[in-house]
Amino acid sequence: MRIYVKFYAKIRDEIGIDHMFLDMGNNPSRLIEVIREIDRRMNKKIIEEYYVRRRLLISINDTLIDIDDDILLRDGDKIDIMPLPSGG
Amino acid sequence: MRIMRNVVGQAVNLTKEEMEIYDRQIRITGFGIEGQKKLKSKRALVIGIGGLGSIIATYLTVAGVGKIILVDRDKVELTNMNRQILYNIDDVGKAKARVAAEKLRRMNPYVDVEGVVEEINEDNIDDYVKSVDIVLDGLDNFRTRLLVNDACVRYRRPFIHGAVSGFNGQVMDIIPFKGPCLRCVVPKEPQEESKVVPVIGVTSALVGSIEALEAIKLLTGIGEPLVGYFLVINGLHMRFKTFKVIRRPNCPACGKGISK
Repeated sequence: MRIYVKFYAKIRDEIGIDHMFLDMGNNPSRLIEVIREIDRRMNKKIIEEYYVRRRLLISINDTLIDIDDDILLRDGDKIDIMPLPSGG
Repeated sequence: MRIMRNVVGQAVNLTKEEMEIYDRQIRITGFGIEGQKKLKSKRALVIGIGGLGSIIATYLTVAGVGKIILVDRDKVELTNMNRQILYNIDDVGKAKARVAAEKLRRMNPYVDVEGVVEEINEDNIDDYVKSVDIVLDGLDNFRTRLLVNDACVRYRRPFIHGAVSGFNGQVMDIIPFKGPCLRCVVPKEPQEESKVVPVIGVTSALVGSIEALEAIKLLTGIGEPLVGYFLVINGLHMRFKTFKVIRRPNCPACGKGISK
């Protein structure tokens, strides 16, 4: 199962790459598993930190999701991960 | 809280001078004198008159929205100067809402601009929201944004959300029960960013301008509003991307069972 992940803004700067392809094995993966796999690959605990603090937006196949939803990612899914700005 | 004359229902006419002031937008196909009269008959609430609010309030004023209420508890600081274009250096220490209202009245004396020095909270938000036709987000935190969103859903007022950080920003139009609300995207309050959010003034200008544009479209009924979509702006790489947003059945603000 292959997933395309794209990073935005500060998250992209912190993680150091624009996008990646993740191979998640044969079974559909939960969102939190994908997040942890990204951090494991990059050897940095970045995305999970944003996730725990609810400071990110996640889109799956161009639709924003509620990060609390128990979503299963499937082969070919495209994930966008961006920080949530709060300034005015 | 002071304010709020109800101008709805009153006949709206444009003076010869107003016709000249608004000439270039009246000429836009689909806007016309009718669009201008609609703007003049409407009331907008801008919450937060900082980087976003300065731009929003300026463009709503010069566009000729009839009544604009500005709410901000803060005073002008030197660190505001890179983006909060309604203020001059010699305004430092003065209440933003008062300075902004005074400048905007001079910019367009045909607009009734009211500045209120007050913090938005659970006790006053309903009265503000009820008294206007549209609410615009010039805030700097999600705790208050969600409070405003919930009041806009309760009283079915359109709410234009915007936020910035660095070279990045986002915009979403909320028309309660016709599309998703802010809680459909951000159901719970996130932990705030560090106290100081870095930002370059042009990002605030970009996002604030889009918010003002969306408000003008909604108030005049022209164009297609950014409802059901979430615009993400990356100024550093100059990319604009629009994501779909779905109205969530379990949304704590506008979910099933809440709509009447």
